[in-house]
Parts: sequence; structure tokens; C-alpha cells
Amino acid sequence: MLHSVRRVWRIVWKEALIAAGSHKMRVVLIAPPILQTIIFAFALSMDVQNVKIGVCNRDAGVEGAAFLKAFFVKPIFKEVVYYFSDDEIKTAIERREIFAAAIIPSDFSQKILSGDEAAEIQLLLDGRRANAAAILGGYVARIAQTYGAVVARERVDVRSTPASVSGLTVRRWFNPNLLSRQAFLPCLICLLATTVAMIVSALSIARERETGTFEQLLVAPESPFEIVLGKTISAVMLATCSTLLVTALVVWGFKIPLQGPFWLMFATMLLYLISVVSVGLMISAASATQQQATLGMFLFLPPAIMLSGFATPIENMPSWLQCVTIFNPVRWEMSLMRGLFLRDMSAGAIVPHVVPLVVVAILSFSASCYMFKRRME
Amino acid sequence: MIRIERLTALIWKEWLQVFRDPSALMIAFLLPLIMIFLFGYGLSLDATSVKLGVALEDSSPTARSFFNALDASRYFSARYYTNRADAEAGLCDGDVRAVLVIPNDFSKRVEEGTLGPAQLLVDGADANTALIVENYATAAYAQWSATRLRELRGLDGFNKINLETRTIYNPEQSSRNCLVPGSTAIVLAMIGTLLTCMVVAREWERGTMEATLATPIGRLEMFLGKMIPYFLLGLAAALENAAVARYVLGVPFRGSILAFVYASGAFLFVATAQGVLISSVCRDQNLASQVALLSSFLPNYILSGVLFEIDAMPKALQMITYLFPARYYVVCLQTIFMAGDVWSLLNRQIGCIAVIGVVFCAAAIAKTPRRL
Repeated sequence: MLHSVRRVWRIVWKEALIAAGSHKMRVVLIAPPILQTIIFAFALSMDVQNVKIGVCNRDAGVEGAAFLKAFFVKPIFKEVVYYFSDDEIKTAIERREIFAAAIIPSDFSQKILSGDEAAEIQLLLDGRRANAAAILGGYVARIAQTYGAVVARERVDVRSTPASVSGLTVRRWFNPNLLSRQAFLPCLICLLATTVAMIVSALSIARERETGTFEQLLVAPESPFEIVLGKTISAVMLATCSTLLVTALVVWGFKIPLQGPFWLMFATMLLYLISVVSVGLMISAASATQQQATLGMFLFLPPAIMLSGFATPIENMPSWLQCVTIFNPVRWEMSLMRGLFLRDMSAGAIVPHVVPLVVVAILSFSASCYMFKRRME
Repeated sequence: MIRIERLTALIWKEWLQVFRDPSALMIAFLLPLIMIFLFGYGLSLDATSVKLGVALEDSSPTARSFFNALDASRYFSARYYTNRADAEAGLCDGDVRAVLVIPNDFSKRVEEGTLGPAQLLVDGADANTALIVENYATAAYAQWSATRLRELRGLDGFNKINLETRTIYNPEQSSRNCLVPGSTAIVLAMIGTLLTCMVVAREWERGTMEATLATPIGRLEMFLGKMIPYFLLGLAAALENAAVARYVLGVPFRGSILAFVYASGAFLFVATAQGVLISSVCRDQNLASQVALLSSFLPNYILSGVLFEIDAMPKALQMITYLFPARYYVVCLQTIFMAGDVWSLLNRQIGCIAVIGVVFCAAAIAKTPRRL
């Protein structure tokens, strides 16, 4: 037993030296996660801001101008460009000079003042950015609704109009200002952890085969199980260091508080890294050259990230694809990080997330042992 | 400086290598296929069945009528809780995205016109979904209350302004129509870099570089010989992508193939040059593939403007995105697919890509080895 531990430890040490021994390798392990945390932290926002909007005001009265004044809310809009015809507006949108345009018809003031029917406003949006168009459309609808209610209140007695001015009370939990950074940074830790865990493991066996050191492993006293275990431990250690660095940056640098207990976050993170590293070693054991292993890495990582619920919710996927995501470790860790960082999710809710991680880890670890053993024989 | 026969021989050699190792062909044709299907089916920002917890404490007809109006919309799939506390716990554990609390005095509050007769709690941990849920629910309430007023008192609401929204190029605001064309940029960035990142490093690692250096091949020939085969492979992948997008996923393609090839060629020029540069600098396949993975997938996924809004980023970061050719290429793709050939826009974007490409090429050629 003690001998076995010593043998595994030798492999761990050897792997750590290979992965972090050279200067270039150390740079690759430390610089990208930190740089990416800083850059992506500012980039991860789906909100719409600083929009350049075109306006065509055909209304000669004061009401149109008054509406426009209430319309330009910063920071949603940044710049206004005035146009005189629909064609000009269409060309400007086509060339992406403006993202949206508001057209106020000539009878706007008249309709507002007479009060018989609702005044109309036309909003043109550039559908080439559908999500931005949907969000901006929502903003403008709210602005128009509020303005319409204000106008109505000025002219009609409010008390006789129940329910017209009262809406739903909306409470935003866990992130009152809906800050994208707060919502996305915990997920970003998970993304960068996945990437690092993958790059330290996916090529580690294929490289031995291509550079010829595999033969040396054949004559070494370590059993296949011990070698794979040693490679796993070493890769998990490196990935953990890198992830802790990123987590520290998120918690202290970006001041995103961890609501759940640290040990729970750390334990699930460790389990997650073990499962990703096992997947990486399985890819490595299955491939004959480093190029094949790289292909395997690219076939696993981007789809796993896309199907994790990071950028778009899992519920929006078709149900057959939702079933596929059950086997995706990234999905569970993403949800755990969100839950532990922002919501302090209960222990009962954590268990169903942890089970798939354990299953993936056990399955892919045994698969890599099996494939490694077969390659050795 | 360039001898055509030497160059063709090099390209031929690289070509054979591609066909004899199936992994390169898989990178060129299988990877894009998987990615585009994932973008087509997996990524969607159109909320269709957001899990909404409902704590219905009021069972009066008014409350029911409001709840039915909300439930009828295709945006929500409701989950019932008997009391508010359970629903809130569900929100904490991430079982539901939002909770609608209809308190037992809901109908009374509606009659009196008290502010906020019902409460909506949204999960801010996913800010984008939270915003969308909020917009849907508020709009649904406004509509319900307007309809109710009209029925009860014949009042035509109190909305003095009617907003008529028209989304050109994409009337249903389908996010798939934007994501699928945009995905071509991410896929090409990945395969362009991935295909070439190993080619020089592999020669170093296997020792064939020494043999190559003993021939009269010049730097430029070596660089072009490594780049051209993969450039062509990447172009084939781009066309495959466009065909799948158009015929399988049903995304409109309103521009011309010519414009598509022109823009894709410019972009691939940068991506393959970047791969050769990585390969020449790293001289080690393991390191090269790590750098390729780090520099191609996540940066392009996040900074190209496919998913996240560049306009909403801070100024300094917007400056950084100008250095990413994917940013310009995504604009080209979305325009070619949805709007058509707007040459004044396309030329400007492609020009920017070309400038970045020249810089990358110069760097790659300078780093291409000529001696051991």
C-alpha cells in the first residue's frame, strides 16, 4: 500500500514537472485565466446600452418634442441622429449607422391633445441582432407606456381609473440591479476551470505516445491504474491552483461575495475538476497522436460550454437536447456556482447536482484506465 | 522569390498529410457540423417555457382570470406552490426562474387600484432571463388589466401612446437567425487556428523540420505551403456551414455566395496565419494546441458580438474588440444572411479584417524558421 502511494506520488511529481516545468507552460497556465477573467468580466453583458438611434419627427406640435425629451434615457441611448425620410432611415439601418429608429407621425400632437384615440409611434429595429432588438423593444415599450400614463394622468382623474396605473410589483432577488457582471462572474470561474482542466489533461497520454516515452512507462514498475491516478491527481492539482487564483480575483478583485460556505464551493469545485480531468484523460488515452487528442478536446469543450446554460438557458433548448445536457458536467457545475455564489442554495438542492459529477468522474476514470491498459498490452 | 513548382510540391505534401490523418478532415468537416447544429438548436435566447413558480393564495375569479392570461402565453410553464414560503425556497434552489405571488387580497387590491396587487420575484442570478421574464410579465399584466377595464367599464384603457414596433430583416426577432450566421465566425476561427497550429510544431517535434530546412525552400514558400491547404479546407467548411444554415436550419440567406466567400476568405486568411504563427512560436504541439484553444474559442465566443453586446461594454474593452477580426466578420455574416449584399458596409469590414491579416502574416513569416 505504502509502496503504491509512493509510486503514484512519483507519477504526480513527474507530470507536474512536465506541465509546469517550462517557462512557456507556466505562462499558459497562469496568464490566460487571469487575463480572461479581467477582460470577460467587463464583456459579459447582454444588456443594451449606448445605442445610436435615428429619429424622424414629422410632428410640428410640442407634444412630439416633449415625448422625445422623455424618450432619451441614458445609458440606453447614446446618440441621436435626425432624419427626414423613411428611405434615409432604412439606408442608415442597413449600413449599421444606427441600430433603431423612432418615427413620430404628423398627427401625434393632435391625437394627444384631443384625447380620443391613442397616438402612434413607430419603432424600427435592426433584426440582425435579435436579442438586442427584443430588449430595446421592451425598454422603449416601457418608456412609451410610462409616458402615456403620465399624459393620461394629467388629463383624467386618476381615482376613477383603477388598475390602470398600478402594475406588478417586481422584486429582483440575489442581484437587485440585474448586474450582468454579478450574474456571469461565478459562471466564468467555472468556464476557466473547465478550460484549464482540459488543457492540462487532454494531451498528457497522447504526448507520451508520440514522443516515444510511452515505452518507458511500459517498463516502469507502476501499474496502469497508478499511472492514470497519478496523472489525474497532478492535473487536478494544477487546475485547482489556477481556479483558486481566478476565484480569489473574482471575490476580492471584483467584489462578488460568496453567499454559500467556502468549503462547499471548494468541495464541489474539486469534484468537478476531477470529473473534467478524467474526461480529458479519457480523450487522451483514446487518441494516437496529439492532433487527435486536440481534436477530441475541441469536440468536447465548446459543445459542453454551449450546452451548459452559460450564455443561454437550458430551458430554451428542445427537450431531446435537454436530455443530452444531463451528461454534461459543465452544466451541473455552472448551476452550482450560480447557486452557491449568488443564492446560497440549500444542501438538498446540491445533491442532485453532485450525483452526475460523480457518475461522470467514475465512468471516464475507469474508461481511461481500461484504454490505457489496452494500449500498454 | 516564390517558385511555383516548389510551392505546389509543398502544398501537395501537406495535402497528403491531411488525407492520411483523418483527424484533420474531421476538424474541417465534422467540427463545423456539430457546432452549427448546437448553435441552431442548443443556443436560443427566445424564452419559450420559463419555469415560473406560482403561489396562488387568492382563488377569486379575478385572480384566476389574471393567472389564466399569464398561463396562456407560451413564455411560461407554471409550477404551483401552496404557499409563498415554498415558492421562495424553490427560487433559492434554482427550481424556478421567477415566482408570481398572487396574495389573498389580490382582487380587492385590483378593485381599489392599489399599487402592486401581485408580486413577481425574479432570480437575478441569471440577469438576462430575469429581464426578459420581467418584461413579459409586466406586459401581460398591463394587457390583462386593459382588457378587463374595457370589458367592465367600456374604457379604452389609459394608454395614450401606441407603440408599433417593426423589426426589419428578422420580423419574428428569432435569435436563431442571428446566432447561426454568427456561429460561422466562431467555427472558422476555431478550425482555421486548430488546423494550422500543429503543422510547424509537428515538424519540429518529429524532426522533419531539419530535412525541410536542408532544401532550397524560402520563408515565404514555407509559410504559404503551410497556409494554403488549410485555407482551402477552411473555405470548404465555411460553404458547408452556409449550406447547412440555409437548407437544414432554414436561416434566410439574402446575400450572394460571392460576398460570403469574399468575407470568409478574408477572415480565414487571418485565422490560418494566426495558427501558423502560434505553431512557429511554440515549436511544441502540446503548447501550440493549448494556445490555440485558449486564443480561439472563448475570446471569439465572448468578444465577437455574437452573444454579448459590444456596445454595452466599457470603452477600453470596445477598443480591444477592434483587434479581433471576428468582430468585423460577424457583422458581414449577419448582413449577408439577413439583409443582403450591402457593399458599402461589407467593404469597410473586410478592409479592417485585411489590415489585421497583413499584420499577422508579417509576424508569421518573420517567425517562420529558416535555420535550426
